[in-house]
Amino acid sequence: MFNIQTHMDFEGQNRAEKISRAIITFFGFAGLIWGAIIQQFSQTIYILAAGFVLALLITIPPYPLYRRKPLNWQKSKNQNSEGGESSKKNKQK
Amino acid sequence: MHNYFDRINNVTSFFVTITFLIILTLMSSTIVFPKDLDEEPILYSNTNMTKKIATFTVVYFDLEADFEALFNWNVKQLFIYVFAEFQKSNGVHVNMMIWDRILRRGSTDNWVNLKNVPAKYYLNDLKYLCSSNLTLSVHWISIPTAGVFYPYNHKESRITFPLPNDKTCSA
Repeated sequence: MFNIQTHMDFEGQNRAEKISRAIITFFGFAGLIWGAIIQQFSQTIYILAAGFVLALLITIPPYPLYRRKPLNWQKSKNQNSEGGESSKKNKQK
Repeated sequence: MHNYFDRINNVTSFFVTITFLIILTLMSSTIVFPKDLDEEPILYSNTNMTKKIATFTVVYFDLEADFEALFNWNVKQLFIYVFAEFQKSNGVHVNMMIWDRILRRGSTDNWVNLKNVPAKYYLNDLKYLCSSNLTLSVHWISIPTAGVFYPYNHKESRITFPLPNDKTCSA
């Protein structure tokens, strides 16, 4: 009924993984430094959690950003009896 | 990474890994940068301040120290306590806690200033307490957000005085 696409192409998957790791690492590092400056560990955890939510929002939905290089599938051949015969002929040749 | 579930799984597992590394950093920061009091705590008591009530010996003491300096991002609360050390007349060495207090982070009364305060716990072994020296000392343990209970014993203050003798001793 609804034709909602959930997949990313291979390039997009690679990019999504890299982006999510970069975001979480950056927020974790920033939180660690900020928490050390004001000596409040809870702030570190809040900043890290904010990074986690941001990473989820940015890399989970399949935005067009992650679907720029779709695989070029070969066009499907006719699956009727004639097509089957023709493919057999092709193999024999 | 192909569908939603795989992506959520991947991001969450990486988040948990980073959380673990951050907590590990917090734990090691306590060991690498240990904190100490700025000044030695002032502990005072003497023979006259120590009272014998029936079969108990109650030690009264003064204590002044600013424990605010010990609180950092890995200290949830401090447990401070006063030890009494003495040698019983039958030769047994006793190390006993006579007073304690819990200091919480963010509390306004982390500057401890006590004058002539009775100990919470009494020395009640009257028979062996006569003519022995009493040594009082202040100690503290930090209860961390993450990591091990870290006992501090750097700047400790000690005071030694003889316990009072009265007629119960000669009897």
